[in-house]
Amino acid sequence: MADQPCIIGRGISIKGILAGSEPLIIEGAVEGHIVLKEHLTIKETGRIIANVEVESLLVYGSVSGSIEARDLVSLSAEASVVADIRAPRVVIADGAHFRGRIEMDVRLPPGL
Amino acid sequence: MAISKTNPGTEINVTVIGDSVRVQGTLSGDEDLHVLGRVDGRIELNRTLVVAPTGIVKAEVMVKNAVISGVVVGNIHASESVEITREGRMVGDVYSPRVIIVDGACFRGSIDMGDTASMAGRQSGNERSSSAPSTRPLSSSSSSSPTPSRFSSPPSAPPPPAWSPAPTSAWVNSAPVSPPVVASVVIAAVDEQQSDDVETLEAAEHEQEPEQEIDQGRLPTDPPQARGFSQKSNKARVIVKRK
Repeated sequence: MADQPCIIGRGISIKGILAGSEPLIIEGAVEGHIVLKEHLTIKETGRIIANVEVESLLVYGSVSGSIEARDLVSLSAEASVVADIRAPRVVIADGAHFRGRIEMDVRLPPGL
Repeated sequence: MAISKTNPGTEINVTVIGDSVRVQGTLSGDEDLHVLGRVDGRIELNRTLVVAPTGIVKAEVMVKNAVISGVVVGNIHASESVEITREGRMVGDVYSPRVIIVDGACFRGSIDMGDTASMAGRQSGNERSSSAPSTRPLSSSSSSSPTPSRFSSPPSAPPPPAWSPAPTSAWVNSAPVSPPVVASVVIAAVDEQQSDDVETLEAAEHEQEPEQEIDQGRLPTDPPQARGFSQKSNKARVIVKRK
């Protein structure tokens, strides 16, 4: 089980709460709430309208809602994201589309 | 000290604010600016602003491109791109069609890259790249126009705020280096639209609404590419009609 990652196929659409503690790949549509203790990958065909709470997130598809990650949020060049992101590390690749807020820890020099 | 120099082999001038220099006030110009020191106030350039790792910019920034390796506190409006590198730290809002954040960069604020449609047109190797016009002029001209998101149900985010290419198009056009393909599409669309009457625009918006509703009905089964394409072609048709 563990070596075969869990995939939500492109023909699947889920409305509601999606919770788990193993890596997940979403190729279909999810609407609602995603809570995952592991890495989440949203493939090119994946469409998410949800509040997402994960360890880390890699987006190739589209996400709308809010994203909270304990480590990294990475938006690839194909990604289209309209969301507020809170994570210690956020990466936006050239070509990615994003609109929203990003909250990272920023240590500014004193006096700014 | 602040020096202006010409890079050998190119015609592009670069002004460097040295790391012991502090500038307070408005800085404007038509050449690249490298900030190694500190600038407080306002920066307006038709070219690229580079904030070096030692540089601190506390300013409202209007540029074509910005590369941030130092500290920036303030908002950046860039007509082309903004890149925050590994050493870059920024607090403020970014308005630019292309925004790149590298791993290691620190950022707090909001980012607005405009509409999804202009993003799709920017992707090279995409079959719809040449035919996809930006919808930004429509959404900036009317608050009732649909949000051109790929999702059929509206996302929580409000329609794009304040920034539209219209107020900045003057200095974009005056830039001697031609903007990228999409930027020129946007500008062209704005110009067309400005010489257009309101009725045509309203008709175009109504035309889009039924399609959005149909999308809602068939969301779960439709591949997004197909839906994206049909929306694009619809917008393309709107533009052609206006001509």
